[in-house]
Amino acid sequence: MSSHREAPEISKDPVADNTDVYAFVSPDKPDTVTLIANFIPFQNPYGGPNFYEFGDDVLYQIHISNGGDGKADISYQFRFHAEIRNKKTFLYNTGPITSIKDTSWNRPQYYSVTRVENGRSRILARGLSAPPVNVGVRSTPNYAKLAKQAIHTFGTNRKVFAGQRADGFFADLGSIFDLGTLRPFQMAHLIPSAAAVGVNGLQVSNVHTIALQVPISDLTRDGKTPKDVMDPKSVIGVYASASRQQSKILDDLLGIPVWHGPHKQVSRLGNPLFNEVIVPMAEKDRWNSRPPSDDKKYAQYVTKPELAGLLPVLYPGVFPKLAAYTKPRADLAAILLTGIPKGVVPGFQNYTGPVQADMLRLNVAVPPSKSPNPLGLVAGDAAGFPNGRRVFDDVVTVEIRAVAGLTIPLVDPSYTPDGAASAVRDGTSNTNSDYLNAFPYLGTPAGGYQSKPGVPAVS
Amino acid sequence: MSDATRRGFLVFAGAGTAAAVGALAGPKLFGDEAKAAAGTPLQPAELAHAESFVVHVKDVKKGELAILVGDREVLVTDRELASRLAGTVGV
Repeated sequence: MSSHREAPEISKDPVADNTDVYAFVSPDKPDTVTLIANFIPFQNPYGGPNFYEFGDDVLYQIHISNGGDGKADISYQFRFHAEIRNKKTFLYNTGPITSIKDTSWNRPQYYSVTRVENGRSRILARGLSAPPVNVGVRSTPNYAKLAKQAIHTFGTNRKVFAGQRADGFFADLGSIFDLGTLRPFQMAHLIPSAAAVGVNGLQVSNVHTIALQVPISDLTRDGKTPKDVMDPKSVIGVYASASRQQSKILDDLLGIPVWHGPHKQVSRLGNPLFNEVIVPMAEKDRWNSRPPSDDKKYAQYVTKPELAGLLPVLYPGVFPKLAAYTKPRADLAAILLTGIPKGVVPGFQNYTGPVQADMLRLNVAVPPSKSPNPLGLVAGDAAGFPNGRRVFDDVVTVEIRAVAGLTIPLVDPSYTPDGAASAVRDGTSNTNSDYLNAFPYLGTPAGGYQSKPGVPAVS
Repeated sequence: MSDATRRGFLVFAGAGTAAAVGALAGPKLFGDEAKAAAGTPLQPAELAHAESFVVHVKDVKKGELAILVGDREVLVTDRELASRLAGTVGV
């Protein structure tokens, strides 16, 4: 979760595993949009001596669809290459790393940024430094300052960062994956247990983040900065992907893998939890290989989600109205596949047209909220999920409530949700380092020396 | 695969595919991300100068082969080559 290890194949390839995507109008620079794609889930801060890094053999991309057909009109591509400074040592660093150019860092990684639009590629920047991971107080003293050096400015009013961050996503993974237990409602579960507080399963986990901040006008279909929320040109679709070359040969002469052929998509992410809990396991790998414009075939799982059928079974008597609701879930189809058309939420829309495609949809004419609510649009904060997604949005609670029927009245006023639909929640919050109030917004990653292992329990 | 067999395969396949590509009216590139390279037919010299490339026999009966070189994939149809490759296993 939200897309950590969400499909059988990509769970075996973490360096290409896209875990979360965020898109929001930058609160401190409201003439820009910030796009974030995270990869490499469940990073243990002390996972050395070969610490986590982006894949030199992976093509990472953040895509913008602004033409209404679910296809990428603009793609930002990120290609990495790591170097070894001292080939005679096994060490990640041979002394304290006090700057990203410090030669005591033995495994620096660099990257390029390319923008592809209408089939034409343009390299925006190259030779950019990614920061080292947060090894510990001796190796990476003052990590926050060190990482700040890896925020690169290019062009005018454009920034990029690629490197380790604290995972800002939070969810009670251990509970949810144990037959859909929602702490603190365990007593109402089919297999009840005493109530207990939620546990953030992502605590002390880091990820690798690619963050990009560009002017709104770089992303809209007419190259303008729209102000009218109801203007269709105000809405952009956003998704990210990771691709690998088609053929991998384990060359016994070279002793390293050799790749050939065009890049093929192995991971894709738009809305949180889409592939995770909507798409059946047998189809997840194929879904990861397909573009959003092919998502019509998955609409059946959105309009009749398995989870909506499970909730009344797992929590007997708690969701009787949801159990009795037999109509296709047009509310979920709008939220996840087309965007919300005008006339559903007063003064708001993020509709991209009838093409069904899983993407985050961001109406860039909605200004950042002065009092953000992590429950976003369903709580009256139109600057939050599912209008794009901010780093602090509680997407698990929002989506559980939506699946539980809270959003059905948006499209079917005759339906009254179960009382539990507005009370059910994930029960956790971010317990990693605080979000930042400026780019790249995700918090300082946990350090290897400073962090402690968790608490194992077998019964 | 032994070195002797590897060299034999590469020489054999290289000669065959070069001939096949030369006879191809318009190599078909596919895959969304290969579009950037579309419209530039594969030249035999590209294979000759490549450090290595991969030939994937996608369908022996139809003679469909994919040549993976650099970041490109080129489809080639050559029933004779495909059947020779299939028939020479172990030779």
